[in-house]
Amino acid sequence: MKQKQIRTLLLTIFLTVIALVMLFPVVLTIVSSLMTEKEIMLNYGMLGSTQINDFANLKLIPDWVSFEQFFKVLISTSQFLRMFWNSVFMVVPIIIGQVVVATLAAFAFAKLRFPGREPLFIVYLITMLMPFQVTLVPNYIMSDRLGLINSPSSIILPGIFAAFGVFLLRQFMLQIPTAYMEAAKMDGAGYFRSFVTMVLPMVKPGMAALVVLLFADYWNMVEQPLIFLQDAALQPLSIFLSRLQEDAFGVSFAAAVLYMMPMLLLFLLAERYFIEGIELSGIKG
Amino acid sequence: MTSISRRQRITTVLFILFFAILAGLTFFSSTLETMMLPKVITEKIASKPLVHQVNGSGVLTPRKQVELMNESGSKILKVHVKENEKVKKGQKLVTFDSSELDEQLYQEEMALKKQNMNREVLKENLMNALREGDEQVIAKAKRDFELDNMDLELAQRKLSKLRKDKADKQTLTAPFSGKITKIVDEDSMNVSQGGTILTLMDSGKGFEFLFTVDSGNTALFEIGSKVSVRLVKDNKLVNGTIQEIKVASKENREDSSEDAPIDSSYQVVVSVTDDGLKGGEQVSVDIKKESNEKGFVLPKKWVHKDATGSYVYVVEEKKSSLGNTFNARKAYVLTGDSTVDDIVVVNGLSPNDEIIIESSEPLQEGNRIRIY
Repeated sequence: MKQKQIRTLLLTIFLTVIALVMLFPVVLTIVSSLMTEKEIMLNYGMLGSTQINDFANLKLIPDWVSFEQFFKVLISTSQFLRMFWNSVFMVVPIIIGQVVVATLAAFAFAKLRFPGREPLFIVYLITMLMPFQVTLVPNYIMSDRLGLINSPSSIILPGIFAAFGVFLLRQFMLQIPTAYMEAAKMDGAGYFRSFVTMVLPMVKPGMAALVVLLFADYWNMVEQPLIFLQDAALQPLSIFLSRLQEDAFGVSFAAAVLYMMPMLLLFLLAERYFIEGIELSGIKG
Repeated sequence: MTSISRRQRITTVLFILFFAILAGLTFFSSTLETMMLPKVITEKIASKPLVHQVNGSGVLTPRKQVELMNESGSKILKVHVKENEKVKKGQKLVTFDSSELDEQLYQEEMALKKQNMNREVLKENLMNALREGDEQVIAKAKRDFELDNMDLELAQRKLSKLRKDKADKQTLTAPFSGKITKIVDEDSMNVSQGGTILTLMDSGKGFEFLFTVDSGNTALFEIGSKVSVRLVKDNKLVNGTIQEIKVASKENREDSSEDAPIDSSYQVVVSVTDDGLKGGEQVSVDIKKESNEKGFVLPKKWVHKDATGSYVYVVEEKKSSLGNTFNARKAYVLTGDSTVDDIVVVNGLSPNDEIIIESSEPLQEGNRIRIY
C-alpha cells in the first residue's frame, strides 16, 4: 500500500513536470499577449532579427498589462479578421465534406463485402501515408489543369477527399460487432437505414475526434495555401501568423492567442460527444 | 453529468460568442479602420497667376526745398509773404532795414557834390594859367585837374556800388517759383546774421516719399515707371514716379536678421506731383505685378522640404475590391517664383490633384487618410 502511494506520488510529480513543460508555451503566449508592443520588442525583439546573439527574456509578469495588441489586431487593422474568415471558410467545408465522405466510405470499407475491398483500401491508405510534399507537384498540376489555382477550391477539394478520415472512421466502425448489423438486417433494415440509425450514432465519438483532428490539421496548414493561393487576400490566418514574425512582431502573441482560441473551444465542445458516444455506443467495457 | 453539461453550455456559449464577436468586428472593420485614419482637409489646385504684391507707405516730403537766410544780418522791416503762399521767381519776400546804407550813401553823395565844387575851382585855376602863359603853372594846373578827374570817377563808382548794395540788401526775392512752407520768427525783427528767415519749396519739383522692400521684390520696380499713390487721409489716388532705388542702411535690418541675413533690403523713392499736396501727408502704394512663370500657385506653407527636394502631399485614390482607399502621396515639385505667401509650382502636379492642406496627425508617404 505504501509502495503504491510512493509510486503515485512519483508519477504525479513526473506528470506535473511534463504538464508544466507542455503548458509553459501556451501560458507564455497568453501572458505575452497582454504586454505592450514595446515590451514585446524589448523582450523578444532579437528573435525577429537574423543574427541572434542574445537570449529572449522570458517574463511571466507584464510591466504594463494592456490590450494594445488585441486592439491593433482586431480593431485598428482589418487584415487579421479577413484572414480569420478566410481560414474559417476554408476549414469548415473541408470538415463537413470530409466527415460526410469519410463516414460513407468507412462504412463501405468496414461493413460491406465487395471484391477488391482490401486492395482498394490499401491504395487509399498509401495516399495517406505519403507526405504532402511528395504529392505536391501532381496536386499542383492537377489543380492548374482544373483551373483551381488561386482559388480556395484548390485546398478544399483535396481536403474533402483525403484518406485520413476514412481510415480513422473505418477503425471505429470495425469495432461495431457484426451481430448488430445482422440483427438489423433480420429486422428488415437496408444498408442505408442501418448506417443512419445504428452506425452513425455509434461512431459519434469517432466523428468528434475526426472533426477536432481535421480542424487542427487544416487550421494550421501553411504549405498548401502558400503554394496554391498566391493572392494575399485569399490566404488564411496560418500564413498571416508566419508573416507577422517579419514586420509586426509586437502583435504576434495576441494574434497567436486569437488563433488558438477556436481550436481550444472546439476541443472543449467535442468533449461532450466523446463521452456521450462512449456511453451510447455500448462498446465500453 | 450536470457539471459536465454546464461546462459544455459555457463552452458552447463561448464558442458562439467568439465567432460572433469576430464576425461583428469584421463587419465594422472598415468603419473602425477608417475612423482611426488621420483626418485631412484637401483643396483642389487652381491655375492662377502669381501676383507679386508690395505695399509701402511713407510721408510726403518736398523734393527741393531751400532755406532763405539773412546774409547781412540786417534788421527785417517787413515780410511780404505768409506761410503756404505761392510766390513767383523774383518776387519780393522780405524788406530789410537799410538806414546804415542810406547814411553812407548820403555822405558819399555829399562828398561828390563837394568834389564837383572843388572841380570848378581847379577849372578856373587852369583857365588862369593858360591865359598867363606860364608854362610851369599850366602844367601843374593840368595835373591837378587830371587827378581830380580820377577822384571823381572813383567817387562815382563807390556811389553806384553803394546804391546797388542797397537795392540788394534791402529786399530778399524768391530765387525760384514755389511756395513758402515755413517762416521763422515772423514777429521778431532782429534775426542774427546767417539765420533762416523762411523756407521755400520748389512746387514744380513736387514731393517724394520712400519705403523699404526686400531685395527679392526690387525687380518689381523700374526707375521712371508710374505708380498709383494713395493718400491715406482722403483715399485719393495721385500719380507717382519711381525715382530711385537705393540700399537701405544696415542698422534697420538687425531685427529681421533671422530671415535671410544675406538679403539686404532696399529703399524705393517715389516722387509725387499734385497741386493739392502740401507735404507731410501719409501715403501708401500698392504695387501688383503678375509673374511670368506659368504653373500652379500654392501657399508656401503647403510646400514641404526634405532631402530630395520640395514636395506637397496629394491624395491618391486606390480602387480595390475591398473598397476605395485614400492615401497620402508625396508629390515632388519644381518650384519657381515666389512671394511672401505664395509660390509657383512649375512642375510635378497635375490639374486634378487634390492637395492635403491640413491633417489631424503628421503624415507620412503612403499613409491611409480620411478625407474630411
